[in-house]
Amino acid sequence: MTDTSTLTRLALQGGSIVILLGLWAMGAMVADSTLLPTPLEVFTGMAKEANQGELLHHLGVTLMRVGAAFFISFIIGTAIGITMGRSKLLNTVFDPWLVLFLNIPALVTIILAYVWFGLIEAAAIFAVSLNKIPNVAITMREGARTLDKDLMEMAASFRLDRKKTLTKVILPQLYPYMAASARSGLALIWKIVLVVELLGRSNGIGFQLHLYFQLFDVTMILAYAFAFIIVIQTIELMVLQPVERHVNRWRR
Amino acid sequence: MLTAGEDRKIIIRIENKTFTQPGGKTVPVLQNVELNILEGEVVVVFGSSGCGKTTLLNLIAGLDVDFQGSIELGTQGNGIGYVFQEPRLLPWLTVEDNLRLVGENNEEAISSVLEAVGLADSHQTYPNRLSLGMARRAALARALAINPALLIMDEPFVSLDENTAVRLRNLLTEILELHKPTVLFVTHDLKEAVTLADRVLFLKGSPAQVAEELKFDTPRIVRGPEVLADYEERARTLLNR
Repeated sequence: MTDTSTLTRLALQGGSIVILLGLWAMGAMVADSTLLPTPLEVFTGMAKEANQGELLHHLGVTLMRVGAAFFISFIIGTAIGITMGRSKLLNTVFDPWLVLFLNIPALVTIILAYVWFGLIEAAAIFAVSLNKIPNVAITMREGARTLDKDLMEMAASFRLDRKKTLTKVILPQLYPYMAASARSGLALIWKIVLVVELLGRSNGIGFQLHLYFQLFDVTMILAYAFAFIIVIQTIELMVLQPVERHVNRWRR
Repeated sequence: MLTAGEDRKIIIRIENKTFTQPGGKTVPVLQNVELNILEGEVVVVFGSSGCGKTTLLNLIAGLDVDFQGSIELGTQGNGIGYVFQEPRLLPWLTVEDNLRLVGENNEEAISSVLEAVGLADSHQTYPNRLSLGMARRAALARALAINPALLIMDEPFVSLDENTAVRLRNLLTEILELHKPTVLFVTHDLKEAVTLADRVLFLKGSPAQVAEELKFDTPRIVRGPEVLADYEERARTLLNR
C-alpha cells in the first residue's frame, strides 16, 4: 500500500469515527437524560476514574485474566488442532467432542465451573479457556490440514530432527492461522471474562459494570467499557499487527 | 568381510515396489532394479515421464519405506542430499538459513558452497525473490552443504528456458569436478544425460527395470560437440533396440 492511500484510509476512518461520536452527542442532547450521557461526559468520567478512582486497578486485573485465558486456550487449542489435523483417526474420533464443546454456551461453562470449583480465580480462568479452546483448535486444524507435503518430504529427506521440523517447517506454515485465532480470540475472550467477573469475582471491569448497573450510572458503565475497548485496540495495533508483519516479512 | 573399497560403493537393490490404486488393485512399479555407484561417480538414470524415476529416488531417500530391497550408502558422507524437481526451499528462511537448517553452522562452508553455485550475493535473500534458476541453484547448494554420501537430483533443470538450463548444466559440471560428489541424476532429456553422465542406465518397461547401460570414457569437461553427438547417437541406438 502506498503512503497516500494509507493517509486517505486514515482520514476516512477518522472522519467516520467523528461522525459516529457526533450522532451519539446529538442523540444525548435530544434525550437530555442521565441515562444517555454525551461522549464528553463519558470521557471526562473515564479520565477522572483513571486519575482518582480504581479504573486502572480493575483494568489491570481484567487484563491479567484475559492474558492467562488467552495463553492457556491458545497453547492447548493449537496442540489439539495440529494433532487432529495431522491424524485422520483422531480427527474422526474426537470431532464430535469438538462440536459439542463448541456449542456449549459460555454462560453454562461459567456457572458449572463456579458450582464445581467454587468462586475462585482458577475456576474463572478455566471457564473462559474452555470456551475458547475449541475455536482455536478448529482454526489450527484447518492450518494443519493444508501443510505442504513437499516441504515435509524435504524435511524428512534431510533428516531434520523433530524440533527443527516443528519450529522451522510446520509452525511457520501455521502462523497465518495463529494470527487469525489470536485476533478473534482476543475479541471473544475479553467479553467472556467480563461475564465471569460479573458472576463471581470481586474485582475487574465486569465487577465494576455490575456495581454501576446497580447504581444505574450509565456514564461510568460506558467509561469502563470504552476504557477496555481502547486497551484491546492498542494491543491489536501495538502487539498483534507488528508480530504479524514480522512473521510475514518474507512474503512479496 | 569387506574388501578394500567395498565401503566406497553405494549398493541399491529394489526387488519389488508396488503401488496400490484407489480401487485396491496392486500395480508393480519397479522390479529388480539394481544400482551400484562408485564413489565420485555420476550415474544418470534415463527414462520417460512416469516410468518410476521419482519413485526410485524417494525409496533411496527414505521417503517411502514400503518396498522389498536394500539400500547401502557405505560409510562416506552424511546421508542423502536431495535436489528435488521443484526447489522446495523454505520461503520464510533466507537462502543462508535454508542451508543452515539442514547442516552444521559452519559459516565458511556455507559461504563457499553459495559462492560455488554463483549465489555469493544472495545470502540474505528470501527464496521468493529469486528467479527459478537461482532457486534451483540454492537447492543444489543446500544438498551439497551437508556433504552427502549420495547426491540425488530429480530432473533439476526442467521448465527452465534453454539458455538457463545450459548455464546450470555447465555450472553443475564445474561443481562435479570441484567437489567430486557421488551423484544419481534422473532425467528424460537425452542431451542432458550424455552431457553429465559417467554412466547412463536406461529404465524401461512396466514394472520398470534397468534395460540397458552405457558407459562414457571421455571426461565430462572435455566432451566437445562431436563427442556428445556420438554419445547421443549411441544412446539412441540402444533405446530403439
